[in-house]
Amino acid sequence: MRPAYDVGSVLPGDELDALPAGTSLLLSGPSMVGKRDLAIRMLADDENQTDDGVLLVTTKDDASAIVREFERLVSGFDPDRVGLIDCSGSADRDALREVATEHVGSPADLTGISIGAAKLTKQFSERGISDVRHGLVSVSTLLQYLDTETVFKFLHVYTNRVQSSDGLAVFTIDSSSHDAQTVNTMTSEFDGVVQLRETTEGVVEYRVRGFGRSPTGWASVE
Amino acid sequence: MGADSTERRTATSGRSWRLRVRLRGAREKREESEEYTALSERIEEHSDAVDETIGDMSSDLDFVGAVRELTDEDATPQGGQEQEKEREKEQEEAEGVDR
Repeated sequence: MRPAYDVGSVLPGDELDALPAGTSLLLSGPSMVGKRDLAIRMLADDENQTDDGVLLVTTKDDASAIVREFERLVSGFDPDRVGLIDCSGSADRDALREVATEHVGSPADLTGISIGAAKLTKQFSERGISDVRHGLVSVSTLLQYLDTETVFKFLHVYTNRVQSSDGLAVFTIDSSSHDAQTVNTMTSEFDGVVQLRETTEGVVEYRVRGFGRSPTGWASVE
Repeated sequence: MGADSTERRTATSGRSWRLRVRLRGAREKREESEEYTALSERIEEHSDAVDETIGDMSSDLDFVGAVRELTDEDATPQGGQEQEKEREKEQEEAEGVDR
């Protein structure tokens, strides 16, 4: 069992250097602020070149688009370490031969997502990859298809699974698409949240809340 | 005299406006805090209820079972009997993953 996952290279401060195994983190912010990019970089941990598996559920963008993002953002992108669950409904299934991909008909099919995750974990295990970083981009799409209570329960089950398997979860939510109560309810299922915002000058800032520590102030992501 | 009186009135009205704003702020904060406490309690109750139903999560099969249970519970439309059979087949394939 590993003690922690290194994600420190992604943000400039030292608030998130290492997250204990079993941690679930939510990236919350308005649309187009860079949540998905940050999630991919945290999951791939490019700088440390880890051997962790990356299991990413994509609810809106298809798997090809996600692979392109991995190629753009991660210099040492290793397709053998990545497994995708594509819930976008995309018909383009042949484009991805190098990355293990499970297709699920709709983001509302939570059972399909869980079965896809089980299959990909099995494949990782067969390749000797035991530590897995889980991503879900984005919780907001689930909330468009399912009621708040069902999504809340699903996140509860998923984060419990991540905790039980000593994994790491990095999920995203578009805070501008939901009321504050819904965002707070979803946030409560995570050990901590990284909030993102864009200032009027166009600077993207972040702050960290939770993880049993005092909240940090806003700081630039650059 | 008249100008002094006007200035005093303006100052008094400024103070009273600031006081009203502060009072409103305090009231809103209290309401927000009460709302937040109620929300936290609801979330905690919710989590406990889900914990009771999901049980052990030490394998992927337990994970699939727990998700399946919650979707069945909420009667989310997931397709007909054919899809259900397909699901069972897929779940069997995933069986033995990390038992």
